[in-house]
Amino acid sequence: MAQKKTTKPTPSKEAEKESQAEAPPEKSTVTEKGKELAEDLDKLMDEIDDVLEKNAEEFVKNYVQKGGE
Amino acid sequence: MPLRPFLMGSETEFGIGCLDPREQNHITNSLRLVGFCPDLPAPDCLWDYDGENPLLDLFGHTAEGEREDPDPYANRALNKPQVNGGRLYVDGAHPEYCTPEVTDPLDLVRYEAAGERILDASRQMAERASGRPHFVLYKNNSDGKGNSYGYHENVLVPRAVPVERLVRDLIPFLVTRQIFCGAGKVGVENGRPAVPFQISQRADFFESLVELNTMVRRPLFNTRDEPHADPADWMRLHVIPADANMSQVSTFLKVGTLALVLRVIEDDALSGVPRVAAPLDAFGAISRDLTLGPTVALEGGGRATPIDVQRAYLESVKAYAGNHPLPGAFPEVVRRWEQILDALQADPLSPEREVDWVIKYRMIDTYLQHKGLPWDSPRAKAMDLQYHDLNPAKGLYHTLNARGMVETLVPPAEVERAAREAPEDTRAWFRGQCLARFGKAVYGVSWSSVLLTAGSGIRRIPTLNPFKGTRAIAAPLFDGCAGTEDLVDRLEAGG
Repeated sequence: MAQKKTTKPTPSKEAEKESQAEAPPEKSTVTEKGKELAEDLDKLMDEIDDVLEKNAEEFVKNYVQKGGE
Repeated sequence: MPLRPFLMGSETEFGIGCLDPREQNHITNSLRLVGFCPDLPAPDCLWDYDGENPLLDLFGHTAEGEREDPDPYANRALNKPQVNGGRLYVDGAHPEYCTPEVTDPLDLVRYEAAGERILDASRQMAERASGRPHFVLYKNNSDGKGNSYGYHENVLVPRAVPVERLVRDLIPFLVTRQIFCGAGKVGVENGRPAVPFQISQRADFFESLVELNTMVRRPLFNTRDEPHADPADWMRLHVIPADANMSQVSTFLKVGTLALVLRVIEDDALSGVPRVAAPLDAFGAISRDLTLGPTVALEGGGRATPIDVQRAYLESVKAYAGNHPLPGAFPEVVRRWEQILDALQADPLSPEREVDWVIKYRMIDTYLQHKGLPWDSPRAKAMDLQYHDLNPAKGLYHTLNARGMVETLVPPAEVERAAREAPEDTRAWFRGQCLARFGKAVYGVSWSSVLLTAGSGIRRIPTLNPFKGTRAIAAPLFDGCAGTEDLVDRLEAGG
């Protein structure tokens, strides 16, 4: 039996339950989840900038590998 | 009657970079990196190359070439057998990790994740030694400049299954599976039609249908015949077109569906699968169409979507499962497979917590829109590469995971355990036990052998049967075992 999600539920899960009662389920769930995810991703932007190497583009340019199998 | 156990394993070649501009030789870097691997049970343990023969193909031909046979000094530098039964080593110019043999797709996920831990631990040791970050490691398949390295799946298939049937029935599955396990890639390589982003990292590099070699004119179906088991009984199907995945759900589905489809093919029970007219074209066309439209040309005319093709396989597997209760996590594979196909059908960008290419696409797309940057900007390529960085502090997959934005299947504590303990239900257990208990007295290992220093000599214990040497069978050998001589005695006494 596969391990269920180990991460804490994202806010989208609660929002999902609320929106299901009001609107046609499938479309609003996808839209609602999409919105929540977009907000999460927005907050992520700063973190990505922090995490990316200062010279990320330079590093990528220099990243060359030998072909493998 | 219960199904014969499945048997599988994966091999991952990692990309390696060095932050010291003076150290840019990949072979040297790979050797140094694996040399830093901590907690080795037997640091001088050799790999036994006697059983290796990558020049033999499934049609019975032997290719020209030299078989690998490094001297002991090189052998020890290249190979770092792991106490979990897996293999860390240097393959060409890449560090490579092979999982131990497992019977279950969730174990495959666990042991692959364990490999990432082992590689990252080695990276950290090198950092400690040099006083600053030194190596960078990527679990991906391309440098973005036309050089690809592989992720290989291995599944044990009975020798009796005709190779022609495998080729015919597996290839449509292999070219369409990317829709739920492609790792995503910014841009294209190898002269393919330009797109901003594609589903598969590897599709650009596949140029033939059926071939023995794995490095040029890569084939959808690889015919290497090196079973590491009794060749009269078994083939080890060596599957090379898939991407390495960061997402555990993608890995779970990738390998779980492959094993199930192969079992159905073995039973000759596949039905309703569309005949794909040009699989190589389809492989690339599917990769470059994020809408998952009808890009698969069919024999006799007409087109199908990759979802259509996958559904046909799913239906055959479901019918098979109706007659043969599936073991372990396999029912979960089937359930999730259907769920993900439904999700992709509704909106290809909806599995944003499970499917690597979707996770990556959404992350980069949002970032580019925020910054007003185009898809061909260097920043996009940087994010693509850094998605796969093994360093939890630097990797973008790990950043998303830390924020709870992706789904995982195996908790970190289990991953740690899988780095230290072999699976119990294959011969990996015997190999791991020998390493854990006898340490330096293990002279060498391979998939199909363990060599022990015993008394005044070296004893070679064949482990040709992947289903023997399990904990259930072999535990008594180790109970109260006094050492390698004792183990050898017990084996000779009929253990």
